[in-house]
Amino acid sequence: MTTVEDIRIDSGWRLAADSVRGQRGAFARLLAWSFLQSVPVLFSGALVAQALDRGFLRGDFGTGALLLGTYAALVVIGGFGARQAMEPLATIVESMRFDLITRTVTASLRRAVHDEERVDGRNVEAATKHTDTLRMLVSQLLVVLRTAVFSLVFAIAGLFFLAPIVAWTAVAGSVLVAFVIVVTARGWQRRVRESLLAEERLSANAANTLLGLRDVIACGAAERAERDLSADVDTHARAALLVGRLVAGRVAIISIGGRLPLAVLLLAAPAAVAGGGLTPGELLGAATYLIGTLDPMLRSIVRLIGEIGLQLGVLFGRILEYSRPSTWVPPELTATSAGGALALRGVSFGYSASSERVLDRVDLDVEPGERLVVVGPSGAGKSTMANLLAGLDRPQQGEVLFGGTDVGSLEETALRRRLTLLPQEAYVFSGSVRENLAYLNPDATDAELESAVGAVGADELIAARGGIDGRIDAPNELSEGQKQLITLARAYACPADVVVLDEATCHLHPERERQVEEAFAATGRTLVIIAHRMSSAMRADRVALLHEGTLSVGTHEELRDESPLYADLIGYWNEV
Amino acid sequence: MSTRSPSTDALRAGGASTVLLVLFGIIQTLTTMAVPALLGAAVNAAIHADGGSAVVLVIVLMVVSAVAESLGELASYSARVRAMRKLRADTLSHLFTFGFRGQRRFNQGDLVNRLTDSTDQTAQAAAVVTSIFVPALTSLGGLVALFVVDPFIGLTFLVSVPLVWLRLRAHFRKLIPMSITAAGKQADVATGLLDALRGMRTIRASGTVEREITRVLSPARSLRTLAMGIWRRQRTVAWETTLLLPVLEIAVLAVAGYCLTAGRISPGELLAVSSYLTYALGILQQANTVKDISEMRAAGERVRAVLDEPGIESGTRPVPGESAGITIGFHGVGSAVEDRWILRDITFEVPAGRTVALVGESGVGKTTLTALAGGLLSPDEGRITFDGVPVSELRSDELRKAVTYAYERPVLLGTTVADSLRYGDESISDARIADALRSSGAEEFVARLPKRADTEVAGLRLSGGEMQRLGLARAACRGARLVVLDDALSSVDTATEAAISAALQDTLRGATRLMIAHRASTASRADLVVWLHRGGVGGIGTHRSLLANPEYGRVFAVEESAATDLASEGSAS
Repeated sequence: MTTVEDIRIDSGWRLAADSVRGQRGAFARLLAWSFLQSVPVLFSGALVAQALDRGFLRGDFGTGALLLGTYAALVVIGGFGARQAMEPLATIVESMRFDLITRTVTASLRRAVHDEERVDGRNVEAATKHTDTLRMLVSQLLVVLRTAVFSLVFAIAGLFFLAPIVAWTAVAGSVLVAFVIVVTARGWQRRVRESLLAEERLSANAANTLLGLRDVIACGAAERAERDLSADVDTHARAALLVGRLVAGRVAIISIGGRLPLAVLLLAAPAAVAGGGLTPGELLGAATYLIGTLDPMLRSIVRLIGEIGLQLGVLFGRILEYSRPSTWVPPELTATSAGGALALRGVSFGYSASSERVLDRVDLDVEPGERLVVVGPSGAGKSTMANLLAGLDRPQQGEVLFGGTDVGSLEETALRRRLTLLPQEAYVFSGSVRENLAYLNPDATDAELESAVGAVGADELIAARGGIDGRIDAPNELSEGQKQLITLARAYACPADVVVLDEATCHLHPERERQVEEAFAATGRTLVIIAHRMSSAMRADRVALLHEGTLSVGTHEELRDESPLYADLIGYWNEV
Repeated sequence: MSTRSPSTDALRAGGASTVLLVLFGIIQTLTTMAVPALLGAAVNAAIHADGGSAVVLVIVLMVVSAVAESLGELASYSARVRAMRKLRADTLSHLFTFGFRGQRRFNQGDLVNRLTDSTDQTAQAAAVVTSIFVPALTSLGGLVALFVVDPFIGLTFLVSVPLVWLRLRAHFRKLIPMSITAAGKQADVATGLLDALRGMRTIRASGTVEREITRVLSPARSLRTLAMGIWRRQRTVAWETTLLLPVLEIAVLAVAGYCLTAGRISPGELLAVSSYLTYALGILQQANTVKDISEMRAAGERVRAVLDEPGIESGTRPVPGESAGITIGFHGVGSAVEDRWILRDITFEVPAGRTVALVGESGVGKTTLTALAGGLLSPDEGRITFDGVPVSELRSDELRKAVTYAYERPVLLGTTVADSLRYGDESISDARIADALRSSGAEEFVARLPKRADTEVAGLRLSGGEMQRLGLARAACRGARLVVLDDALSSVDTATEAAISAALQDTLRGATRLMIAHRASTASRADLVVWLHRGGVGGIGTHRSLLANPEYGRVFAVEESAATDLASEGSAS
């Protein structure tokens, strides 16, 4: 599980830079239009000053209104800049999101397939929810940042024109604010991260404990579980409070920094106005710069860097983690093989070095065209055996042979065409019926697909979807049994010599299950069936009983008479 | 249980912080309102070259406002954190009293979300409320102030604002369906990816991962196109706003300018007007507040649903008897789910120290019966007794010590393997742990773990059978007087199961055992078999005697067990 601890915020920013690298032109346009957008700020205070001194204060309404009108015209020009800036902004932000979704989806699926990583809902969240949040935050960041910086500079420039002394205090105020941000940045980051970490720890521990809610209650361990989780709740609360204190401190300093120049202006004004150094209009104009631009812009920059900046860093860091590319390097294999023979030679397999072996030096020969049914108690490792036979898992010892060649040395695409494994979880995706049926054999003709549909008895189901040309838009509305029928027809239509059915018929009616098994057997292909119901074993050429890492192979009758476990599994009850 | 809404609880839990938050919010609003007027006065004074007290007052006010803002922020955090902690503590202390029904009602992920995210959202009640009222009050105050300065100015604002508002609303109306379509495309990417992850084994086995990537990403392309369309629409909105808002602003300022020329207002008041105008315009930005409130309320409802779920009520009597086992009696017990009887008329008695097997087809109510036996579910009729005392009258804590369960798929909790076994009862000795591991057949593989019984549970990769044995050991080491084995040995073969059963006999030292049996051999070893059939007791006796009824034998037989799956093919999952 990834925690904030592993997330490097800096490398998150590198991903951000990487993701928008192709957008230099858009950035340049954004910058240019943003400049134009902020121009009205430069003149805002100056025009107010003129409107008062030359117009309203002299009793000349016309001149005052005209000057205000000039300002209005500038605002419209600025608005045009804002309008034009929208396009490059949208391009940057949307391309970035598309890039991040593509990275995350591609890497997640490749890692799940090739590295067998347990890729879960958090990856899906990263690919969709996180990228959407990022898009929003980045656009906010760009919108505010591009105007705030120009506006600040323009407001201070305008102040220099009207009241230099106030301009200097504005510079001092801004520097103070910048200083506070820089000084508190590290502590701020650390505290927010600690708070996020504490929250993730709480979520992870709660998820684990609540998964075992039944066990907690049944063990009479409510007190212990509550105590453990309460400790996490408290740690998080303490961390969140520390963040709050820092935020409050920053807010105080920043609002003082933003208002300091205004205080200076007011204190200096009486003398300045009396001495003729400052006209009433200029006083009002300077106040306009300070109240209208400096204070709000400083606040939004701080809010941005403080909150959005960090959130962005964390989110980018998280996406970086989930979009980590697969480490798998495709081996250069050229060997191909065909024919229906499968064999295990001294195969051993365990989930880890210390855990019990699921298979312990097992030998098995499956003849071409044979129907072998694998049975065993739940948890005995039947699916693992199916994976080994299909070359999806590699044994720690021994060899798995397909047509006499080691499965591990076979070229992947060719192997997948000749040997098919159908798992219990039927995978039906939204798309056309044809896409779904021809999934394992894209070259299949309609006639082939239709005969496959008929062979497994999926005619009615497919007809209800509008036949082969129909669509499946909401696979989840199909029942598990219906999905299995579709995947069975898919497997039937594939060109493989060996088909491994891993409980692939478990949701079908027993009679339908029989029909499907017979249909597959009738094609003359080698059939390995991991049995869900013992009735499958009775129809087998041979049965393999898997338990405690060993295989007992024989006909149904042989096993019934020789293995007490088998007799027990089929409910064949003689004497104790 | 509380009948107030969790949001109200959150406000209360914030305690002094909530009060302070509101107080500082009010101070901030008042100072914000006063500053422009005083600023105007200070400017007027300055123009007349008069130092005056207005300047001092305005500076004092600005400091007060800054301090109030800062302390308000602190109070807001503190109110939220206190409320969050309280809601989470309440949820936690209630969660673990859940019986069988509560456990089944919420799925685990949902419950985690309610415990962490929903409590957090609900806890923001105080902050949300102030973040709505402070700006709203300020906007309203701004409007009133415009009128106070000069009614003409206020009227100008009031006349122009609906025009702007109507125009903006028209745009948002068009934007909403566009956003919904875009959200749909994003959901399509999520669904496609989730589907592919669920079908991972198929994709691996088919070598089709690159095809899947293209498929999952195809809605992302339309998402990009749609999103660009939304941006274009927003551009129009922004452009119109730029055209309309200045017109409004200039109109108000021009009227103010006229008033100044006419001598109706002073220059300082003109400055105040521009500030109040900004406040009043804030009203246009209140669109999100309704969404915030409804989200908070929805989160509160989610927390409340957990708190309102009835837990197991504790009785007052101690668990009776001294012996190692409990005599458990079912007397006309029935259990229903939403008016449908799952079990009815269940009557039987198991003497202390005996082993009873529950046999029946899947879905017949075996697990429900085990929940009833341990007091995790109260019967809807009849009663269940331990040594003659109704279970419902027993003290919860003693009951939980007297009864323990081992499951088919146990979840190990705690830090190390040993800690996960004694989880909830720290008094269990190392010797008892070792004994339980041995008799559960877990000794050997635990010995192979890197740090044996001290190996961390997190990250441990165990097979289903190994997990089951640890679950069994956890039940065996607790010295419970009734041990319920809920298919707890399904992953081991018959011979091992028999060996483990024999070894457990020793470790459990005369505890009464209730187990669900799927195999005939398991049932044959029990002292007594309770055969559940069609919602009631089909028969009680030894396995051998029950075999006289062919219907009983069929529970274990091959062809018939398949028939229980009949219904599953047709219905959607």
